Amino acid sequence: MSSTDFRRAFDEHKNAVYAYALRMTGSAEVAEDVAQDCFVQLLRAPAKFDPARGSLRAFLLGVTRNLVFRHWREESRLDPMDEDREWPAPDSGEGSAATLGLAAQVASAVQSLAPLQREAVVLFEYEGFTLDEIASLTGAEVGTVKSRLHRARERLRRALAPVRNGAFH
Amino acid sequence: MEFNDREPMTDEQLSTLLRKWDAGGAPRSLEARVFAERRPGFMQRHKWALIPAAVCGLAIAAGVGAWLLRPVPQLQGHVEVVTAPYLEHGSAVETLAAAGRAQGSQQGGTKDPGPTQAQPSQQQGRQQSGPRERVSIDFFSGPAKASPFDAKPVPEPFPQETRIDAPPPAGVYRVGNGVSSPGLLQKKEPEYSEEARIAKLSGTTLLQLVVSEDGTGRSFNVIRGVGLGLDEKAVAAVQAWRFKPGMKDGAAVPVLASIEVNFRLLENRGPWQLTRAIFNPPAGAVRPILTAAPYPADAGSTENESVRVSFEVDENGVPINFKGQTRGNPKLESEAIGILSGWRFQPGTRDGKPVTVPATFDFTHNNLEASSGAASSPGPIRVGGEIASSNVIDKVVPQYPREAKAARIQGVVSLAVRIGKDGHVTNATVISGDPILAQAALEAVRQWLYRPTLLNGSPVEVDTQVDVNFTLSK
Repeated sequence: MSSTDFRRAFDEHKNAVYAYALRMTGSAEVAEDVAQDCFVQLLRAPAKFDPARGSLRAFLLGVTRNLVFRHWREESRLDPMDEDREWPAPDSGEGSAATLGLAAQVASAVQSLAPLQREAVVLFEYEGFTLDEIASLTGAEVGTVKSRLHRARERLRRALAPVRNGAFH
Repeated sequence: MEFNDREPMTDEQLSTLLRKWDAGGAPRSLEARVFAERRPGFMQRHKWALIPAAVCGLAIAAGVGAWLLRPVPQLQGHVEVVTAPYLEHGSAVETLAAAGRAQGSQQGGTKDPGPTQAQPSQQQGRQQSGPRERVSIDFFSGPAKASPFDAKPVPEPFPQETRIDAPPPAGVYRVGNGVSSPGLLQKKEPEYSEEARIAKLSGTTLLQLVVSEDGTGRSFNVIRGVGLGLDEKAVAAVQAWRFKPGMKDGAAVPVLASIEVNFRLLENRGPWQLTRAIFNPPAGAVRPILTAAPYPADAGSTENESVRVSFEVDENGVPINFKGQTRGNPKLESEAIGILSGWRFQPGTRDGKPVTVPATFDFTHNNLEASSGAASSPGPIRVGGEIASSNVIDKVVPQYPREAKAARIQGVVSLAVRIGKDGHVTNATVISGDPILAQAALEAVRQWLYRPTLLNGSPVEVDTQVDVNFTLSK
């Protein structure tokens, strides 16, 4: 990969990589670390990207995914592979549902999903991945992805019910 | 747009709502970090910390394991002393190795290994290699799918990769959320398999197990294997380990745990090293057994890279149909294929008949300065760090230097240590490490007192290596 190619890849995908990491981790600082590592990996071992196996974007998000899970593991937080347990919403300062903006409430609801469910929602809703693409990225069956997405939506519906009127009126 | 509160949101409405969360674009600082400053991200910060210790071990060409527990995260300026790797040669030290293995409780200190020569060797034949450089025990329960870093620059997926994507067995807890980590009370060293020794295979087995309420392990599962019998050896050893069980609400509970067992052969290592060897025998077939694995003279490549080669072992035990899997470095790949083509196997069989079996091997090429001379030099005997460590009578813990703390300097300092016949440290020199930290490590280690090592009843000088790990909490 030439430096021009790398530059182009960076410019084209940096926002997606960063946004994905941010939505998964809920931390701008971690997201930046992860995004950096993701691109440094591409720089060091560009041959790992095989165009025959998918788009560069999907590849980078796959790398990002590994980095995010790795981060969780190293943080020794809750087990990221636990399918069901809700995560405590990240500390959002003093803000309660009443004072947080809509975006922050959505963010907090997404953050409280179990990681695999959160991942399904983030990839589907924000990154525009199809179920097949998510399945291939996460190494899960399509049916599994579907059920994660379903459960995630159920939780989000519940969590966001109080704010939805404000959103749609 | 109006709707009833009692009516659940449709998927579309939920999508619209979710889109209110705009993550924004990547910050400008990201560009500087990727292109210019190269400040290490968390991955690099964590991943490479232990490499200096491994590399300096090579220079002396020998190694038996030391092990370490995860550092205690709450401590400020935590200093962890890790003794490390040498590989001993010949029968004289064989007894020491046996004594080291017979050592009992690590934490409780209830069993004293006693004079090292008192334990007769139970190993027949060659016991020239201490099996590991290091066993790290790591209680997590994360995704065990190989991440891009697990195998350094080797592409994935590896055949036979097992992934944990399932919930733990019923009634088994995971650490966290009020469930405490199990602790290691007593361990047993894994042995090296003969095949792995022939092939000079070094690698890491990742095991998953359930630590029962009674402190024993069960439900073993090799998540990521090294191959050539080492995974079986790892399981066999860990089966004998005893743990302090994980606790929840004051009661012992079964907890899912993962353990990494690192196998490192450091003896006579050339630049090429086999790091993983996996066969994919067809259903019902037994895999081939490696019988000869010569490493030809190095071609002098300067790259440090890993390559993966797939091939088949035919009915005569000859490797054929090589295919490089790396797409990265064709030159190293063809060198690796050159090495493999000289290897021979006892063919795989099905129903007693030889069959062709596919295999995938990983090699790493490290451009090391030739260091094999050290192995044959006479003089004091070399002793594995762990064995030496078990003989420390008085261990002065290094002070964390204030300036290093202020500058948040961390890392491993490796020292080459000579222990005199009287057990005092007669010489200690820095092999690697940050100079400020090294000074502190030297000052402490020079004060250590060891139980003298006896050879045929007479005290002898001993060379060993001590690794001191300086880590700061976040």
